[in-house]
Amino acid sequence: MQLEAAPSDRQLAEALRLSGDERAFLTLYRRHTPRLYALVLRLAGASQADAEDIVQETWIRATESLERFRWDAAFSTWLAAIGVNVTRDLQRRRGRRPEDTWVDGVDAPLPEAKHHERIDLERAIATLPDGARTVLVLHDIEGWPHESIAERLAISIGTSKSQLHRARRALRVWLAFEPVERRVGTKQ
Amino acid sequence: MQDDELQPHELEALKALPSVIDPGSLLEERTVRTLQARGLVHGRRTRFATSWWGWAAAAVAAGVIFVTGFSLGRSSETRPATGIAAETTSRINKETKRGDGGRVVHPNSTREVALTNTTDDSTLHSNTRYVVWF
Repeated sequence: MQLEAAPSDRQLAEALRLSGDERAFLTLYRRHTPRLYALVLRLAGASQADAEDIVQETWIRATESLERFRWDAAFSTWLAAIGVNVTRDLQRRRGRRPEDTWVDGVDAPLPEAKHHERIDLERAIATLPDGARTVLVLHDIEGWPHESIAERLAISIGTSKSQLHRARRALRVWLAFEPVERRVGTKQ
Repeated sequence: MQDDELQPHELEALKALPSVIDPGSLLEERTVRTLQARGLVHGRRTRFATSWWGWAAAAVAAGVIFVTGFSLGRSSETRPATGIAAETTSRINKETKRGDGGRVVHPNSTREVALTNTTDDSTLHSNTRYVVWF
């Protein structure tokens, strides 16, 4: 007995683009949303309500711009990039202005961690400032190179690296990965 | 070891984080509804109505319903008229043979027609025709 091959992302996207095929959309949605949701949930600082809004808006933008997608990257990568943009737009609208933290040397202060406090890694990531959190999630969890992060976030590669440096050091403090005497992230 | 390098246990902790999280079916329904409202996704019912074979099937179904209804209407239109005539004739015959005067009410009217107290067949038939055709 021969199993029927599942339609590719491209086939489904074409059906969705040409005729608005609901079944094609649902297949794409179910295939990619769990990964997209995990990403934007972390980018949004573990806010489920925000993450749901971001996922919905990401799919709307993706469906609207399917015609412009050239398939020079994987569909999931393209979708994640849209999700990152939507997250940044949401943070801007909320007045959090994540771009303030992108400028080297003008870092926003990291939240204080109590001595010997050991907290869950997800919670620790959620407490990071938007800029540092975004770079850490994209680089250390999603595996994006600094070049891609810089391009997507419209920042320099150096800024991406410095944000990652800050994020990692802050996480070490919260997770007690290093002695308390070496804590950083507080203003000197 | 450089301060910025991730140590093995740190890498392990980051890799252990779930890469997929199910957001639940409510978000799926909400997203589909939003896309439908914007005309980006078409539901199955809408697709049927907008496709050419959907219109053709609807036209054939409408034709069948019309012809069936027309045929039924024709047959029921003739049958009751014959029935009414026979019934009325029979009733008048009985009343006339009894010898008392009777009145016949036109089935579709409030007008009444008085029958004469007679046993004359020609008058009877003439009145009957009047009742039937009035």
